[in-house]
Amino acid sequence: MIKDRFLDSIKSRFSMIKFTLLVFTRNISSTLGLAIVLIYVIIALIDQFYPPLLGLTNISKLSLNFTQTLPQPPSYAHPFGTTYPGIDLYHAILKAIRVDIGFSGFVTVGAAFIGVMIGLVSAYYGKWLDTIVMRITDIFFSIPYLVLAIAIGFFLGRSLVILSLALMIIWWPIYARVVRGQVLSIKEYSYIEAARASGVRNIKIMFKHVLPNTLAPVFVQFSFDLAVVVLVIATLDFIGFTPANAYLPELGYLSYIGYEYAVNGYWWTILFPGLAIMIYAMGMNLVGDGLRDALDPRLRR
Amino acid sequence: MQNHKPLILGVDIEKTFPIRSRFFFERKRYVHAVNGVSLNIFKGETVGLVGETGCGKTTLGRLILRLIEPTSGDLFFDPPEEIAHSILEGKKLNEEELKRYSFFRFSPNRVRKTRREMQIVFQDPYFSLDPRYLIRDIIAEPLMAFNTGRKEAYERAEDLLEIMGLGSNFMNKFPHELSGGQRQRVAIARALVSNPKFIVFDEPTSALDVSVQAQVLNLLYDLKERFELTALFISHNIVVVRHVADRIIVMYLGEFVETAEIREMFSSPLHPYTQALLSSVPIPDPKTKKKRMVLQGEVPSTINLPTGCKFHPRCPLSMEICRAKKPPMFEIKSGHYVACWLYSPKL
Amino acid sequence: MEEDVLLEVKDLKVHFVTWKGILYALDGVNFRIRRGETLGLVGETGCGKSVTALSIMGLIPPTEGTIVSGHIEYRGVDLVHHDGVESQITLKRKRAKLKVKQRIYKKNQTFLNSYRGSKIAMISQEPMTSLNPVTNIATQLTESIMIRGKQELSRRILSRILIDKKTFSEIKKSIINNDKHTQEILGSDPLKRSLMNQIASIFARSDVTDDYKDTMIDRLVNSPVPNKLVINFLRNQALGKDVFYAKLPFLRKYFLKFLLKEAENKSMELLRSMNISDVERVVKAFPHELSGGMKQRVLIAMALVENPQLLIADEPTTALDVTTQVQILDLLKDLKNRLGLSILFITHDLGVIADIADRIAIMYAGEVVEVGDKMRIFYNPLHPYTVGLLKTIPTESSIKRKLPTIPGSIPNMLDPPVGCKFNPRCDYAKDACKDKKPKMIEVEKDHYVACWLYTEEDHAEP
Repeated sequence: MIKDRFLDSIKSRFSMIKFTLLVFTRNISSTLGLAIVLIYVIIALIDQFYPPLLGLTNISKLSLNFTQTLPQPPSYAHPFGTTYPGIDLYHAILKAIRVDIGFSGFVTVGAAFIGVMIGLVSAYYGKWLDTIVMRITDIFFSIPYLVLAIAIGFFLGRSLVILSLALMIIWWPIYARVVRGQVLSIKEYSYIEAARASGVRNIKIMFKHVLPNTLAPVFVQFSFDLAVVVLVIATLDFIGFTPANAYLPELGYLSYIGYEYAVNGYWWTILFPGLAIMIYAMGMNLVGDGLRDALDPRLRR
Repeated sequence: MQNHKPLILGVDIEKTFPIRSRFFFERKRYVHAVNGVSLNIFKGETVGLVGETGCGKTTLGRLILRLIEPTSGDLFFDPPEEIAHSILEGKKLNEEELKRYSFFRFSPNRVRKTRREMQIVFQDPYFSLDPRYLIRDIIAEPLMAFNTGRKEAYERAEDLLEIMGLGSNFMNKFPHELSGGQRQRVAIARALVSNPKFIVFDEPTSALDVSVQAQVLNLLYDLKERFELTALFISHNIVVVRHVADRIIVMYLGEFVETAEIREMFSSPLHPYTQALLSSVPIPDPKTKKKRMVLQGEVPSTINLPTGCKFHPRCPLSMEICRAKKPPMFEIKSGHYVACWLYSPKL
Repeated sequence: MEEDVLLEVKDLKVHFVTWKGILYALDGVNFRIRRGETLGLVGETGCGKSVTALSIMGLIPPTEGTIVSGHIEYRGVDLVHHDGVESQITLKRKRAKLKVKQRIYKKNQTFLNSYRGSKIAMISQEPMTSLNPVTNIATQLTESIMIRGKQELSRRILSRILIDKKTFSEIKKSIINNDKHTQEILGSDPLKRSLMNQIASIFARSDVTDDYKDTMIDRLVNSPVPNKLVINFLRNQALGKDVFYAKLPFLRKYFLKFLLKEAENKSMELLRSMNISDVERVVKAFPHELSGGMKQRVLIAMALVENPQLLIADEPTTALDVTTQVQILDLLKDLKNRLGLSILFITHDLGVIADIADRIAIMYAGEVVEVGDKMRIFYNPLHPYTVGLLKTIPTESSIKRKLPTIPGSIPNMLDPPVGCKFNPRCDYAKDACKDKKPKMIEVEKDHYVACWLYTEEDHAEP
């Protein structure tokens, strides 16, 4: 008897997700964005678990070939051409996608987690805690993130992990703010008061009632940030602030290498890495827009 | 009717909300929501609390449950006999007794444990249920907050749904699949599930249509009998209150102005405000040419309260003394009290 | 077609499109409002009363729904346009879609604009949110007046300047002596009528002494006369024409200033006619500084700027306290008597209806099931729904006994019952009720009902 009810409840929750998907796919551009993002994610996953499928070996490093240092134009053997020390761009980009998506995911998830927790607790308990946290976020907002990342990297070393942590520290305030706004309005709802009147502990209320209803804008912010962080990492690499281990397969780094050559007429060296970044960012943005529209209660008719 | 053991004894409850001052040097201003109210609710009785917007009845309801922190005053919930006697006789309690028995002075943990015994049904059927929760979880929550097992809690939730007249197929639905009246019934089920000693109904039918209201009122009537509820029924509609309450208290600008047993209140309302209130309720009978008492002006702000009797600026029968001094509650008949200088024994 | 019927709604049907299908919001609404009468439209949540109000005003968003058939005749002119196939609703795998021809829709809206505000006005339920919170009442009122009423404003100013002393004393005497006959004769000329109205409104004030009133009336015609250009501008404005020099960038403000000042005067006058005592305070105040009742009065004033003949009030007192409600209802009754205003009063509260309405229309599930004179509806309710509804209201005599209720609930308007929509809940349902929709018939004088229990000659009670 209870098992039947359990299935029923799963069915109910499923139908909500199905509904969201339905509304989401109504919008052509967001579906397109979703398709793009899925392609990238699949590539990254194949890279991680079964690289030979794409013809790749040695995932974490670019395969250098010092016999052919000059970039070669796109041809049958090298669909995207090659760049500086004999790197086949096609393979390199495929490897780089994994790195970029992996680390941007890491950074964004970390930042979201920290930011949501801090925002939730500070907004729920309010008063002086909220004020302090808000002033801290103000401080973080006033620092240009690139400068901060460079500063941290300078002092703590230039590994990708350290840089990711640095970016996480820079990124959490936006989530705290987003969540705080939601929590402040949800706090006033009757069902929160009802839970308190029923004797539910504050912590339980926070996590079981307040948090789930604040997540909608968090998801939207999350999807936008996945794109932005890729751009940030790419930018850092592009300005030469690369991690110590040289020749990391990363889209920004490839653009960095290609930059010097592009001006001399080797246009493919920067075009393809740049396009890879741009298409991903665009796709992710479309998904974020679509998600925001899909979750907006008014448009869910 | 009811045994005379008091369940709720409120003494001088006061609640003021500070208003943010615009300038640094501006004198602090306050909204005086509740001004020194003392109330008794006896076991088994339903007390109707009636008043208009801004009179403080909603705030008082929440104060009793301590969902809002009182500015001052004490509240005794199911106190032992001797304490109850002392309070009813007007004696002051010593510090130690207050700390032990006054709900307003309990530690947060003790407050939470007491919450099991007192529940509330809110006015808004649409947002008093978490939209992401299934009905069965919503009803079972008060039990699970106090370590009742899931299975047992769900069984009890199902029982309660039956009593509410909703089938067990409602267990796995979401609030948005239910109508307003059904949601309100779920809210009532949630309030009853932990067998509380006391329930506050905060305008439970105001947001519902007449026919749905009738269904809910009938339901409450049944529940009263079945569960021997002790309840505070807050409403701005005095006629609805008449349907469920044994006794009525009329509130104006944070104070009680009149209280009487229900039949008495309707047959001989004494306070001018009560009379005005009764005369302005629209009666669905076109032939009655009611003598309408139209009040002057509007309900004054709760920030700058009038002096003396708070109703005097609008009262058609106000006298000099009404502006000067606040009238105490005069006992006119057994159980019928009015706070109005018109009924002072001296005059 | 009777002479004094102001609004007649005939068999109005409105459909909405949702992703779950077509919502049959209105399925045949019929009622009539005569000049100077208040019709109470009563029904529960979801029965379609607000949709009816919006349809009359033409405010149904074209992306959500449309009037499918029926007529809304204001003094004989049909407000619903049926040219060509203006809109189409299609059903595709449970998803309903609506296509509206933009050009025709726009044309219809332009036509309706000439009615909205000037002939039919509407106030709705929430006075709290209907006013702009960042501007004060004066700005909002004068804005409403300036948008449409420039002609009238010009006329008012001109009437004070151009009328000679002799005519002025004639008008003044006819007001003070309440000489209706002379008033009618003089009122045929628009300028004279405008001056007459101005004098009358000063005369009707209760907050100043008679002597002062006299001074004020005299002061009306002794105001300084502006220069010829301004007079010419005003003359043209009164005829609805613009003058080229008044449109020049720097001069524009100068000319408009005259109208603006007059608009302010008119707004004060308007607020005073709403029985607001301290008009000066209200006019300078912001909406959040006013109480709910006061806000509703301001909204009524804004609705009556152009002296419409029909006011649609969509649950105007539901959000207000009982004591405030009484004040607003009294105000509406006063306006009805003073201005001959017709009101379509929408509510679910039968107590309020008993007070303010002359005639009542009962709505259920998108249809009017019974309509007639107030007394007849209350003392001889015919339709089973009306009977049930009247019984569910808690009254003086129903204390402690349980209230009779109507079993079941309102039908799902996406898939309404066939035949009479009330049949699943009706105690007297017959076979005919489940098949065919009953037609509205007149059972006694001015008492119509749509129910198979009655035939033309029937006078029986259920």
